[in-house]
Amino acid sequence: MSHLDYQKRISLLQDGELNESSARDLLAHLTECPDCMRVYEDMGSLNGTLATVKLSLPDGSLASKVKAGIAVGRREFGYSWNFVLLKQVPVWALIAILAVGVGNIAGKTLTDALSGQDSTPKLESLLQDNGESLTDVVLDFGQGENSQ
Amino acid sequence: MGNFETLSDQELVTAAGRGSQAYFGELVDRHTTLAYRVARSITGSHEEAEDVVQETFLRAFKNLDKFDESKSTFKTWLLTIARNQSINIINSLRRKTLKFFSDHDDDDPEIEFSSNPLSQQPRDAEELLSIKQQFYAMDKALKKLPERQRTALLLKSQENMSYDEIAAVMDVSVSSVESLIFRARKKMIELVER
Repeated sequence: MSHLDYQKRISLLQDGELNESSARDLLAHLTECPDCMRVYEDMGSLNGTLATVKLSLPDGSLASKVKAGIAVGRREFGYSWNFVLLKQVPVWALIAILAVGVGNIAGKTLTDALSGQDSTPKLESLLQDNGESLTDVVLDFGQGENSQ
Repeated sequence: MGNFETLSDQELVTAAGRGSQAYFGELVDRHTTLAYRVARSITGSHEEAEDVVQETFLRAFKNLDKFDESKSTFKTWLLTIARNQSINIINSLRRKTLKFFSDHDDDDPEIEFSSNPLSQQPRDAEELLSIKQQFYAMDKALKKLPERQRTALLLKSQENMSYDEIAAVMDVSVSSVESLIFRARKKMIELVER
């Protein structure tokens, strides 16, 4: 293993991210290698300083500003969501009406238009082909009942 | 408000998800500083960082129903939003050819002494100067690191986050985090020694 590999492990060791056996190997190496030992000490010193320096603190009022912003944003969000709902419902209704209308013009049902298949032959195959439509058959049936 | 302090982040998220803004307020109190530090380390600007923090919490509040506790902690999720927002701002500024990072040597390092009880208060003016110089050098060195190295190093050294958490926030692998932190430390040692 190279010195660079050991030095990478120093970083892991100091972060508590190195497993036990690798840590033992590393510590054994450090007793024999002054260069890596210096890196170990330098990194330890750097970590100590970084941990105790409070860099980049926000203003004390930032949390209050955030909360106020959320209160305003919530009202705006609620309005915009209602607005979207109101706008969307008529659009979907219009699409449904158009789909039915187009289907009627094409002589197909909405199901036929959506499935891309023509269901009429399947229905008609159930009836005897004697030149009568389904409506004729139903009406005849009703007339027969009434005449009895 | 006092009762909120005993609740976990997840309990607060659940309560806030039912529409209680007060519970979300406690989450804001808990994580504002951390979100600010991440944003500041990326944008390099106090003003931009404050804007990022506000936008981050607003987005988090709006998308609270999308937060999945089985995938990450609230803190990790929030910091991921903060990091993405910060990067968006940086990219936007770059597009406008504005200089985002000032290397002016006369800038205030904006360092404060730690509240850590282990850190000693300076005894005299000479010691105070020495500590200020050390912290100033640290701040300058941090600014010279590439953004990803600086963010990874600060999340580790200042927030003591695990490599797994940092990887989640930065959307990289754990081995990338190892590498970023190691290279950041090597570079910092080199810069501080100069």
